[in-house]
Amino acid sequence: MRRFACSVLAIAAAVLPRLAEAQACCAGAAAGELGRLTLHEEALLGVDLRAVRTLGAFGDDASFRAARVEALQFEQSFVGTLRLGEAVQVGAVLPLVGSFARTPRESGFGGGLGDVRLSARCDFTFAGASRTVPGIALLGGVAAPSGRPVEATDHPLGVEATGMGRWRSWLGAAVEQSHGWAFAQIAGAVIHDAPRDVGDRRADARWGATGSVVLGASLPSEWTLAASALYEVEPRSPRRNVRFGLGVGHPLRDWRLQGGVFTDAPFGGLGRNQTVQAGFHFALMRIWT
Amino acid sequence: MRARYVTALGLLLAAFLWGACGEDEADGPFPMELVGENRLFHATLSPVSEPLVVGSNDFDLTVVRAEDQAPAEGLAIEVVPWMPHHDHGAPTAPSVEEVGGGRYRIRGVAFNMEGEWELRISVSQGEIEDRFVAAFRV
Repeated sequence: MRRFACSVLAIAAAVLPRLAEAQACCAGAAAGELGRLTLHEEALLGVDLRAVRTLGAFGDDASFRAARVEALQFEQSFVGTLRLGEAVQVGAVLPLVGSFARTPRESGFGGGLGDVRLSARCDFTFAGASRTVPGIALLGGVAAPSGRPVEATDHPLGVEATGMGRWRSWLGAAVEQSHGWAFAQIAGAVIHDAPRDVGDRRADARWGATGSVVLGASLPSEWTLAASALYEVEPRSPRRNVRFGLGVGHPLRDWRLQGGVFTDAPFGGLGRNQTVQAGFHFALMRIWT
Repeated sequence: MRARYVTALGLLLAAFLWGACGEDEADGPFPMELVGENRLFHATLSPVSEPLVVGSNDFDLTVVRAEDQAPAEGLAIEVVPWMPHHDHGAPTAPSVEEVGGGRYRIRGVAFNMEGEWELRISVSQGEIEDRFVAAFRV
């Protein structure tokens, strides 16, 4: 049961959005947990391929406007996770970001190393272990500004940007429970972006938060299905967004296949000052037990 | 029963696509009248072509002295595009060329994404300095 619950979470986490991932320049740390280990797994190494298309953007008045530019973003992330005892697992994500954009007048492609992320998870109790006590976990991590911020690029469409140009850290908690073939999780995290200097200007530190709900089901033939919804907000900006995801997973001996689709809600009022995107991902992980 | 599900799914899809079409663009804010933070200069900002687009854009800036509305010539002008809600700037630094009669052409303002942007414009002449902030949506 706990193995099933972990599988659902591993799948769902991969389709959860990242705060402020509007463009590569805003991309940063994941509040989610790409590469989560199930209870019987000791380590994993994998690659996650992700493609995202920009549908439009929310303005400051929360109105949605469809995109007038064709903007695609591709990301190949190398993922590694190691278990340190039953309760603790640590992970790293090394993203390679590529962006393509085309307008009636200009087009371009660029990319490079994105912001490297380190994360940790500590499970105090496990989902499915008790009917009355849910699984409770503490989540945390940090993202280094190893990517290229947009101000350091030359192309007018900013396609060479691969990172935020600032440190990001996050701390959160997850409560999860499984019953029979069903699984549910509620999670939240607080995100802090460190200040950064842009030329002779200083962008102040900022705080954000995410809250997510995941519902999962165990299907025949070891397939796992997970649906997720995530709300992200950054009060000072102010920015907010809602993203929905649907993912599937399947174990293959020492490997795990994961895939999924996700989309932000392109409806006026549901977002503010945020780019609206949709995309899919596919991940292949080598598992050591 | 199956027909009901198909109808419901169709309505859901239609609603999704309707929402995804977004709102029509309202009339733009240009020409935009700007007052310097130090109230030494007034300015009028207009894009050379509308609507503003993701990618390169050019602007015309006309600056007059606040005290007598005379054209402000020979100014040193620096323009920084900034996305305030995302805390980042633009890929390239715009260039400014004086046209004459207090008019300046700002070239190469690169908006790398859609959303709310600002042009932070600093003008100076000797010891005199002023600053404009123009906010608009791309």
